[in-house]
Amino acid sequence: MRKSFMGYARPDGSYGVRNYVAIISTADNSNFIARRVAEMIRGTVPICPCFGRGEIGADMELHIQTMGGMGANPNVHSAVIVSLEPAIAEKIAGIIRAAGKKALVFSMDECGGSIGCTEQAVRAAKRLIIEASLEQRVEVGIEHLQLGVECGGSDTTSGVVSNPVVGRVADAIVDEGGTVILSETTEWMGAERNLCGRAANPEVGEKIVKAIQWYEDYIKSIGVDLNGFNPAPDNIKGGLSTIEEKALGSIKKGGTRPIQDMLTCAQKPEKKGLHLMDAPTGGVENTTALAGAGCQLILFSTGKGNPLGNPIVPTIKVTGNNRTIQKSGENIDVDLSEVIVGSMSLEEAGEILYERMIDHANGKLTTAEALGDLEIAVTRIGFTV
Amino acid sequence: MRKTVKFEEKDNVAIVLEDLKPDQVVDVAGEEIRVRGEIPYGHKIALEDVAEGGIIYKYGEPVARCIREIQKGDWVHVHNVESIRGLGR
Repeated sequence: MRKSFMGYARPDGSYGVRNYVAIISTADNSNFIARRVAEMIRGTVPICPCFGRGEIGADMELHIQTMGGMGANPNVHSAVIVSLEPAIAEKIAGIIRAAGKKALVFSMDECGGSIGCTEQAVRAAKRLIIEASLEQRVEVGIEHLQLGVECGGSDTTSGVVSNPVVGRVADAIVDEGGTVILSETTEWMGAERNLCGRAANPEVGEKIVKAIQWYEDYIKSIGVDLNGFNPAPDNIKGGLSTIEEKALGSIKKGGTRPIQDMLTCAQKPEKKGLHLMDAPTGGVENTTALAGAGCQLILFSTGKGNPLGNPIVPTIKVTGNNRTIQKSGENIDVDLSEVIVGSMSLEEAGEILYERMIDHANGKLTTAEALGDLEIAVTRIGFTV
Repeated sequence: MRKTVKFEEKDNVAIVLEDLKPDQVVDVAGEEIRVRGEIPYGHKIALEDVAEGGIIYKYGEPVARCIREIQKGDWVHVHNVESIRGLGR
């Protein structure tokens, strides 16, 4: 087992596994500028949110924290931020600058509309990508790795193969002094006994119960059964009958180590070790929250298949389902179906996945990166006003 | 991996990792069970009879409530069980 990976040293002491110049759109109304800039300058990546204008209170705070957190992510060298107006863009830039990185703001308001804003942002992006190209990878220990674990398109095989195998890798990272984030609060429902039993202290246990209760109360308040929505129709077709069954399989991807703390959506952990994050289950929303929290890699376990990727965080697709390998295997990075059809043990599968993850950390492209299937969605709490 | 997986002793269902046909006999943790009706890949087979209102255990934990009487060998899924949690009723 390799005990190190090759990363780009960042001013805040973290190490990136990619070296992007992020072109961050402050809100939906500036996405077209971010996309144009990224199309013009090779090596840059657009980060385009669904909303961001007219958000209020905690929603606006979460939007700024998540967009800024993605810019501050170790995989990002520096950022160009485009916006309709400069005030919110400057708040996002402030988070990135606090991590010691350059964050340059260009607004349509101050740069001569969308054409002037695009022109100035393109010039800045060109300068930054050339600066970024001087960075070299250096060998660093696993304690500098922060892994997000996620599942999507789950079926029965997820709880039998891919989630337990991802969990073995999560345990290995924690044992080497690294950090792991398990999220998707609704998919802890029915698994409280396991999770709370591993809470580092009673306060963390209370936070776990309270976070799950919030979602259960919300479901009751709107008078809708969760079943049919989560598990979703594809999960049900794949053999998962209830949220409890899905949850007990889902939490296996977090491994078995003590839970140090509960994070809010897109919050960066302060400690090492296994953390829970209170964030919704949608794949794009959840990987966005993990990217905003500073994860450099995501291990994404799937049963029936789910091709999504994140613009800045390599999202490694793992399945144990031999039928998914036959039907849509091109979207899978790590095939563990030999556990079901052959004689591969979960232990052997864990060793294989760990080494493949280090390959991706060292620069090997994931399928989603190669295809450019890269989306974000910042979680919403309430309504736009 | 075996074609059926029973996770914990307490479980009254096992998962099947091939498509099962009616009257096929499968081995679940050393016990032979006759399959009643078709059971698709990845779905669950009942290891004992469960009355309406009874609890389904998988991974040694309660995962569902029986809403239609289940017999040993039956396919266990949304047609005869439902969630205990997350109900809006």
